[in-house]
Amino acid sequence: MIETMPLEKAAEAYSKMMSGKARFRMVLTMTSASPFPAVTPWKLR
Amino acid sequence: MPIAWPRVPGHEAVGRIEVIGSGVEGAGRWANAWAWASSAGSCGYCEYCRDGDLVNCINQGYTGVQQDGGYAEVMIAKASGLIAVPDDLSSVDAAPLLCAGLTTFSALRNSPARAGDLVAVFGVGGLGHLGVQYGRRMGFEVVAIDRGGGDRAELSKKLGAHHYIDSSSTDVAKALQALGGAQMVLATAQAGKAVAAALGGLRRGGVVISLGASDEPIELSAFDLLFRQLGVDGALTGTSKAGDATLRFSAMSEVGRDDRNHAARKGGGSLLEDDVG
Repeated sequence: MIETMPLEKAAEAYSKMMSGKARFRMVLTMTSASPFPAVTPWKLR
Repeated sequence: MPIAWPRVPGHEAVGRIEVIGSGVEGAGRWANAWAWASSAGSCGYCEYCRDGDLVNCINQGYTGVQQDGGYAEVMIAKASGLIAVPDDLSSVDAAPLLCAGLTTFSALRNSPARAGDLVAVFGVGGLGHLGVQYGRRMGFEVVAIDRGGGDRAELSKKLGAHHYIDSSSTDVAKALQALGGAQMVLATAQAGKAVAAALGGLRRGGVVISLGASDEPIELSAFDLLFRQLGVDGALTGTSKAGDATLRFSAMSEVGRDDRNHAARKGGGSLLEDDVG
């Protein structure tokens, strides 16, 4: 039901969707390159 | 839909909150992972917001259209548009539910159809494949309608449809009437003709809810509205609270769950750590 592709292949994923070949959803994935630690929000407040 | 360029696309985005603006109250304080709704967040002060009608907020852009979206590693989001992602729903599974899922879930939840009623989903595509699953799990008798037989029918049944109608070889209106007439048809196909065809399949007092974004006119007769008391309506996404419910319901009833993602998550949890646009 879901096909994943890395963000770098966004254009390919988009054209697959627009040509009706997606069955059913294309999801772009990426690994986190964030400089921030994964903190839970309430600890910030 | 007008877009001011440059714009980062990406209508349905999932990620973790890293920093909260100093003026933000409430949202973001009780969950780890958040999704950014397809509607970017209501303003809270326009006449519609003041009337409690958040979906119709006039100061609300769409994510990836008037606001920068999820094709990025970092994104700035309006707190009022946030949707909580349950811990047991992977980012990959959650992402496609933020517009298509929310729309079909809300349309079914707010519809006049009640448990046991005949509900048809016209078009088993990006919206419809979710509509069939939600409809089945909400307790409706579900009819899936699409073009073609064979694998389409099999897939629809697998998603939970009780019945399948092949619109390329069958008169949809007649087939629905043979089942007793639909209380509601979710028209996900992007065509006014599909809505018109669905009208003939309704029972008296039934309603067609159009979800397919199309500017094609819908032809109908005032006789149908009068003497059969039919309704034609549209449904646009939902509030961010309805988005919370969409994701919780999806996790609880396993809608939209992709077994491969589920296996991957169980295996190493790597997908949960990823940001998904």
